[in-house]
Amino acid sequence: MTRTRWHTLTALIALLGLAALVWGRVPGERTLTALPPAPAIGHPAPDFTLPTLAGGQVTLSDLAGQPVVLNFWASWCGPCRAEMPELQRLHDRLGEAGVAVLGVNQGESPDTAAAFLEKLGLSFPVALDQRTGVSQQYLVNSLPTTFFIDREGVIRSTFIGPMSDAVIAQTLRSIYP
Amino acid sequence: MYPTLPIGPLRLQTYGLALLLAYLAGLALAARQARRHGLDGDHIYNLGFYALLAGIVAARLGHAVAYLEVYRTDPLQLLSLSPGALLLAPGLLGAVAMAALVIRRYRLPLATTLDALAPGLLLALAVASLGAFLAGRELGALSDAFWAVELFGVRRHPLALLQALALLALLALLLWTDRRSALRPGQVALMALFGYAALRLFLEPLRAESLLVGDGWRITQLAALAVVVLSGWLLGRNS
Repeated sequence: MTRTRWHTLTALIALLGLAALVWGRVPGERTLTALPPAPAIGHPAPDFTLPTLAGGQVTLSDLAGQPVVLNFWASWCGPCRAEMPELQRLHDRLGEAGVAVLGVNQGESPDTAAAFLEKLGLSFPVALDQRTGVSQQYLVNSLPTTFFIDREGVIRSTFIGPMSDAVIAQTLRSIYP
Repeated sequence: MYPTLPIGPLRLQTYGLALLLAYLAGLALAARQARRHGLDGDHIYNLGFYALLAGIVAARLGHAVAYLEVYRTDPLQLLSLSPGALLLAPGLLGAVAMAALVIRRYRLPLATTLDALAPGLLLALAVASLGAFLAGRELGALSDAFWAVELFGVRRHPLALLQALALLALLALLLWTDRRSALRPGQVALMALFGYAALRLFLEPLRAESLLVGDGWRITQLAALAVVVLSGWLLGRNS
């Protein structure tokens, strides 16, 4: 192509680009469309009620107003074991400040889960998903999987696989600055 | 949406797998193009390998600077194998710096080397975009267009898929032009840059969430517009 042709093409694309720029502008007063609950970023976290290991019940929507770190795990899962101390540290450090760390044990008996927690010296709340209904609701098909839910109950990040302290620090910023 | 793929008894992360494929496919194409332009393909493989290493190191160091309080209490996390603890921007910077060093060290002709690398980069971006589409990353804005796909009860632009297709079309056009006419060194790389910037400029409004500046302007579009003008001007000057 000749010089003139290139410059004409550039001018043309720049003009169309200006139109795309104006079309793509996000006005400040935009109203957010309410998305249906789903285990995906930007959607409200699907609500559930499960028995806890401590003997009570936990309902996710009761934690509204708090950032929630929702972690699916099982005792047979090596990577889960690896990240448990990190989650405990998070609970120790920010539990008082209102960050709720909630473990969901996938499909194991209370005894198995309790023995595991005791062995590792873990004290953050753990719910029991013995029939794996909540795991299915959250489409958890590999462990560990973690959802970061903001104060309004909207999922802001998800993480598949074990998280190090550094990864937690980074991902937590999406729900707790 | 397939964030993980079952391979035998394992579940592999789709996006990570796509990135690996993107790297290998992009590098192979770049090496092939290098040979077509009279360069040694091995130099391209070396360049790609060292750039990847430097990119990973820089991405981890960048992460450590950003989350210093964590790394200070536990410096061993610098060596952790966690692929989550990487930052993209410093990684890219490290990779580019290393590529520049390799080009100098082997005295590779800059323009021709960039001409060889450009199609490889476009292919890598296309494969990565396909992976992002499968894994449900890079979400598109809500839409009722005929091409919208349903995801979690809402219909969205298939942004990552459109991006992958646009990149592949651009790549085909680029390879065809390169084969058909004798171009000055640097033209292929400039055309790739020009085309990629134009593609980002027009696809960005379909993205669910963009970084904004000022009164709701999308930063990516502003940068892409500047790159279109600059690379278009250079293309004319160099032709």
